[in-house]
Amino acid sequence: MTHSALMPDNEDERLAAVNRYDILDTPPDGAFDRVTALAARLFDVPIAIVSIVDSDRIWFKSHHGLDVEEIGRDPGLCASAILSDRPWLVADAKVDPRTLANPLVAGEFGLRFYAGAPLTTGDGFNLGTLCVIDHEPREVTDDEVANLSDLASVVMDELELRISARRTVSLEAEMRRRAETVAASLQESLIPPVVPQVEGLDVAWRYHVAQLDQVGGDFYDVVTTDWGTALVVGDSCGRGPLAASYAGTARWTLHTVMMDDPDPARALERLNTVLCRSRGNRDRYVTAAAVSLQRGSGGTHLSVAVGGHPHPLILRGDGTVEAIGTTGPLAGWFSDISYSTSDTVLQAGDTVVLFTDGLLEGIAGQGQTDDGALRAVLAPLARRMADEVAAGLDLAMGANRRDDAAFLVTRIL
Amino acid sequence: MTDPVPFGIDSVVDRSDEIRIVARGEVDIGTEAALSDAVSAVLGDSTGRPVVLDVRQVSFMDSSGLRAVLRSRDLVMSAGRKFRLAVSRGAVQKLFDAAGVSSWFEYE
Repeated sequence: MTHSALMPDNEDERLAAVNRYDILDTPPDGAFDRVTALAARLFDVPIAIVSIVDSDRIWFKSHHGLDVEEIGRDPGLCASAILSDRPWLVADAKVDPRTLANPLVAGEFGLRFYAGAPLTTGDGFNLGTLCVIDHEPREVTDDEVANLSDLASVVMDELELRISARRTVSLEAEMRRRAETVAASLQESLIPPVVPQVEGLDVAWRYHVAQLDQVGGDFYDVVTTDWGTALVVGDSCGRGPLAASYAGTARWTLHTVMMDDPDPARALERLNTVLCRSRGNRDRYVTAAAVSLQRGSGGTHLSVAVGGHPHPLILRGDGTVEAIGTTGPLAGWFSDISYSTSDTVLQAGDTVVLFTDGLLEGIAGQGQTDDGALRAVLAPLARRMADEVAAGLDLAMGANRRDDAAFLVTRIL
Repeated sequence: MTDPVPFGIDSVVDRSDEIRIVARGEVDIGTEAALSDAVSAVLGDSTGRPVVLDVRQVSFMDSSGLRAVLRSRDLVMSAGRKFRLAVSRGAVQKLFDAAGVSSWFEYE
């Protein structure tokens, strides 16, 4: 039962403050238990309590010397103590008109002495008390009251610490969510929105990002043009938004150039020029492999140029795997460089795999630049659908995958 | 297995004909700046001696480490000095080859 005379004028706001600290019905906690133990020792009393006054009950965050977790919001003790900003002192409850009707006083518990200091928030709400209790009457000195108030401040500091720690955690969660949104948006400029459908080709791709809240620097593209199809995979050095924006520039530069020009070497040369011109990004580079596929007499003609990037692999229909390309420099660092092309002819059933070093490392281990392990994974996947090859590569990476990894599997139909 | 050697500048050897910076351990995104900072720090003297970056004791280098070496090269060359690389056959040389940048360096 709640007595209206016990209600502070600002009870609704006070209860909102209680809820803000999110402390009601939380488990016992050493920090508060140490304060009540200390208070009991200082006052030489058997019982000390950190109480929080809820709408219809008084709940104990810490209860030293008393095996009770909550009591009713009856007048005289804690429920009254929170009405004042000063400590609430009862020297002998049995004769004090403020307390003699309280069940703890009148009942078998036999409370005689009570001293409670309010737990006051920075904005002036009393959440509850730090109180000391005895079965014997006694007087308290001014020094003891000051000690009690100081300990109540310690309790309050602890509560404030908790609230700010919780805020930090939820703020971090919010920032992570935002970072993931930004990362996802940036990523849109690095890969096509859907698996490109190209006549005569069976295409599958994977784009793995090591951390969702951090955009990677890998990119790829499939460009359908009047002359045929361009395939591009690349990797911008580093991670984060700058690496991603650089990768986006690289992807769209290659895309634009190759729309009109099937020569992948010229595409990388133009890319290098564009990246070198963006002086603000001087301290960055991109590695890339560009491939053009053109249907012709005797099969599909493949031409490839490589700028500091792992060479594409060709998985022939009979299970042989060959790397193709001549390594040219990474793009965006040295001005006026040229690239050369390597050429081959693909037949139906042949598959070309473009990838970033994340795939090599995912299969062979960190720092591995050798493609032997990747070739061994690919060989038994000959003539499989592009998506089956991609799934096989995913499987081979398994739990090893730590870095970003992108790959593009294109099978000639 | 032994733990990877942490990155560090092993020594800066001030010789009459060159300044040699000896790096060891792993150069990655966490340590790349320390490498190019060490190179930058020796460019203060007025002798114009060649700078040699010795990465023979570097056990691992990723794309960020490569960037630090490229940056070091540019720093030294734009100060009007010669930049030479001391590298042993191994993972670091392979990285340079794969990135297509090996021919852009002078070696000792």
